[in-house]
Amino acid sequence: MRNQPSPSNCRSLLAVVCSAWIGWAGLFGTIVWGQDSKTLAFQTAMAGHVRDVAQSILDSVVTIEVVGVSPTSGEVRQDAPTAGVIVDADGLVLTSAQVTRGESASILVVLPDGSRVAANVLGRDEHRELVLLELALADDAPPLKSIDLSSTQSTAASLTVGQTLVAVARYGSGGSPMVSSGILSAVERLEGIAIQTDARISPAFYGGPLLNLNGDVAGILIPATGGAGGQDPSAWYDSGVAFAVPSDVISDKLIRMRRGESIRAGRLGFVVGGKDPYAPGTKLAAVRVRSPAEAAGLQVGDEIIQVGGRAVTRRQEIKLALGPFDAGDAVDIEFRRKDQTQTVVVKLVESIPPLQPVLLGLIASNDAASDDSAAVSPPENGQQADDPPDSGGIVLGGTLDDSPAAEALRTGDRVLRLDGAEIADEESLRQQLWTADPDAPMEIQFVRGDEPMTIELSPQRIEGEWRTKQMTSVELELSTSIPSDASWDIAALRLPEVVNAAALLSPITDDESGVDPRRRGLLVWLLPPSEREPEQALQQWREPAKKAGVPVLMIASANEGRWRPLESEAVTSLSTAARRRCEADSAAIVIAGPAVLADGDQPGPADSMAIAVALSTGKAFSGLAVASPTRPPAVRLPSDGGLRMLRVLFPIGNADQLPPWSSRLTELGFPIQTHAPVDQRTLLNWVQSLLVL
Amino acid sequence: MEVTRRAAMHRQPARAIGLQQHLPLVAFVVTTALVVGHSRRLTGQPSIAGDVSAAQTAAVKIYGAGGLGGLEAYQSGFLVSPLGHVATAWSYVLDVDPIVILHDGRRFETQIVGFEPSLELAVLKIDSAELGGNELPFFRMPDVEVAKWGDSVYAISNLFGIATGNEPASVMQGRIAARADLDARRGTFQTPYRGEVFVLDLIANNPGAAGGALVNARGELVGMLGKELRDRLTGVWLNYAIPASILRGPVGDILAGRKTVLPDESKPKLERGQSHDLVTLGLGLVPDVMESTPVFIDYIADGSPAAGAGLRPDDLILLVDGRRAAHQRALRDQLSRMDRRDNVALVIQRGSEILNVVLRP
Repeated sequence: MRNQPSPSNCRSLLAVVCSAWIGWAGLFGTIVWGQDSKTLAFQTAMAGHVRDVAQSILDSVVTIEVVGVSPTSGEVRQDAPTAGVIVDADGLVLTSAQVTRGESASILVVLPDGSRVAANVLGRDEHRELVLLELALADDAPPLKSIDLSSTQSTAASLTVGQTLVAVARYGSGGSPMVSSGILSAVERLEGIAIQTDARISPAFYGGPLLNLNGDVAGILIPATGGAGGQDPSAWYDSGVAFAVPSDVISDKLIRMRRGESIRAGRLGFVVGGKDPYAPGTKLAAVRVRSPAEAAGLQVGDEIIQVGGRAVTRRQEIKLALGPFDAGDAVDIEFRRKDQTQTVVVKLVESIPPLQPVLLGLIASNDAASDDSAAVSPPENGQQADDPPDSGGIVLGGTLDDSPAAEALRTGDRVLRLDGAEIADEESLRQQLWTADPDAPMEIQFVRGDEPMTIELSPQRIEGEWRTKQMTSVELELSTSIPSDASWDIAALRLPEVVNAAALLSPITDDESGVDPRRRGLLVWLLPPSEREPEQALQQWREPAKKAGVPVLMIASANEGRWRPLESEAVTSLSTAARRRCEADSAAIVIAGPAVLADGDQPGPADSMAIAVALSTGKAFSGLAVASPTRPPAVRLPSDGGLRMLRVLFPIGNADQLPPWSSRLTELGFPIQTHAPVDQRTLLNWVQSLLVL
Repeated sequence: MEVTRRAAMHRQPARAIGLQQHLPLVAFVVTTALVVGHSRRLTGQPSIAGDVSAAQTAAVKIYGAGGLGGLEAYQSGFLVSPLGHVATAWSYVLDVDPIVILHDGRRFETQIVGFEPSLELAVLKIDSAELGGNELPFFRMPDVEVAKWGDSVYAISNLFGIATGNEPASVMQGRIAARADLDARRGTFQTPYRGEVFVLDLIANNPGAAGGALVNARGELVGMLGKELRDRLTGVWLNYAIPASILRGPVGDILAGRKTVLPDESKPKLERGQSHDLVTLGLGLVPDVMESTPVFIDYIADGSPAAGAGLRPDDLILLVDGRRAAHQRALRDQLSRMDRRDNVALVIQRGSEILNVVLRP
């Protein structure tokens, strides 16, 4: 019960109860409770005002129809009519990417007078889901009324969370005006490109304007979901979570779109270290070859301090600060290198040449095998852990036969630096190898006994034929001292809210008779939809799995008859749970479809599903093994921008037999390995080979 | 009566306060110059909270058939007379005589007295004797349009059956997004209604919400919430209400007794050979195996009045000479009171279409 001090002639109206109008608190500053008799007056005024705001722009709001789009399985029809705004009286209409989501025979714009005009796409902002349409207007067409986005005062600075916003569109065959009101929920959403509103936004509003109560365009509504939103960008319609691209940003981008350009997100090409994006720390773990970051002189180990003038202390903050920048934009990066602070200007690019990940042939010692800890235990010769050169780095358990490191390094060597950059842990070394220049020799600094040494090695590309011969030593190194009585067993794996039947074949970790000490990966095997008994299917894997030291997780589809795309979440959760249970190394989690084996059936739904899961689920999997004739599913790749270290095994004799869609894998920087034939043993060995650095 | 009295009061010329008197404030409130020059009448009305909660007392919950195969056995309605007439959406829930629960938990059996298939409107009636002479709060059907697009509205419904026992129906707030023709997809969720609706910006049309009341900030009836439907063009769920102005005529006719679908038992049964029956009309119905088997046509005799009227197998007979044929027994009873030389007017449902046909002997 607070009273707003105000001139007496205003008090009556100011005394407003907003029990149902909490959202308008931002507008009022102070809300007076208990004198609700004036609420009606307020609501009546507000309703009229909402109409006035809508009317003020309605002459520039159009409906956009797409014709001849093939139907999809999503809830929102691919050819749903949406909205657009006339931004140039000569016939330019700004709308959302919803109109270009499916291939269409024609795009029609329904003008405010009800007439239909054909339109074609002039420019796109793929980064912000916007499309600029050019209308094919007749010479004698009546003039259009356009809005000037650059003249609105609705800059990011003038937006206040809590302020009332009104979405405007047209509905139905008569083009009736349609509004939806709400408040500004947040700014700088979707990695800094959008503002968020709680107005219920159904698909008819996509592409339409979102205005403040001054009638200024705050933004253009786009179909989008947050990070966890799934495949369909319109899945959050009417949910109270909707996004719009702010108008001040759009007016800037319109200049390029009018020239017919396509705007895309900008890439820098560095990888910030650490597993947790929210943990403090902004040191670079890798700088990609031929990337803007490399060209600007950024190096592994540099600590990023500011991006585009914004201070950053965590990986996630760097991502947010870079979010609004497009390819072609220049961004200031301030960083610290050896107590020196420097600033470089980096010009972002649309795409960086695909990665060509390499390996050296290093096998970290069993003792270093701790997935969730970067700590490296001290070597057994009793050196002091607090002696800097003797701690950190990676202690070798061996090297891969016939690999670059084979002759040069030995068991017990402690590798400290790669090309001058300190090696914090296996993960960061892996990232460096994944982003390195495959043609440049690498300088390795290591300690042997007490003696610091340096050698130069030429790395080997991961891509290409996978040679099992090399694996003999891996098996040896990773398989040392198996207690003969270490027992392996099959157990059902059940998770709450996961209906898929699953079973895990793994060593019993709390067994008194002896724990299997080997470092291990994990093979995740998807059963054909007709097979319903994972426990039974695992029986034939008992011997090979124990011998190779690789646990196997077998998952059946939820329904007999098919695998559905939605189940990829269940597969991921089961795999993560299995990885924890059998203490597998996250660098060697492989998902496979049954047709990969030489004696397997023709590729089916389980094989396509394996591809879908591997490509769509972030970083849960580091390997994918599928038969090459498998039909690739439609997958929306996660755009988290992080480094995905996934490699693919095809059971074919040579690269000529690669499926056509594999070129997409190469573009994504996923190295392809081939080997034929693949049996249980080779597949399990391949899983273990992912541990090699 | 509270709602009515208040509604009546609203029609009095209330003391109007010009907006200009509060201009500095309004400019502050809506932070705009757009309001300037618009003279909006602001009247000193009672609080919205009061009006809306009063409106809540005239809303009811309805329980009937369903409960199988994912169909809810409940929906919503609202009182339209002090004598216990309840307007609601016509649906399978009404396949058995529905139970109506008032806002205070009082529970009544009802009869379907009115039915307007083209609007998907049904009117139920609580037995007056059971009310014991007490009048109930009710919504007056407005004779002028009381809301337009942009207005703030409240949806009062038994959505998801949240309100149990003597809990009153839930109230949700939003805005009228648009007034436009209903353009719903045909298919699983069907409606014969093709007229104008208020499209809403709140998620009002949930399971159990059909038949609920949409009111304005004054607590006046704006419309009746429709069934769950998907928009034909976008494929998404629609949120809409059928305007009260469209319901007014049919509801008025039913209240005034000008139109009733109750079986007419005033006319005497005629002797066999003089009255209509299924054979004279050429109608074959699906087997009458339940207590209330719906009147679905199974076959049509060649050359019969039914064939002449273009009836088809699978048509559902709803009304016979304006009276409801709730089940096959009711149809036979109606026919037995009609002279076989007279025409028979039927209202049938074919798919989602409502058709009027006349069978000529």
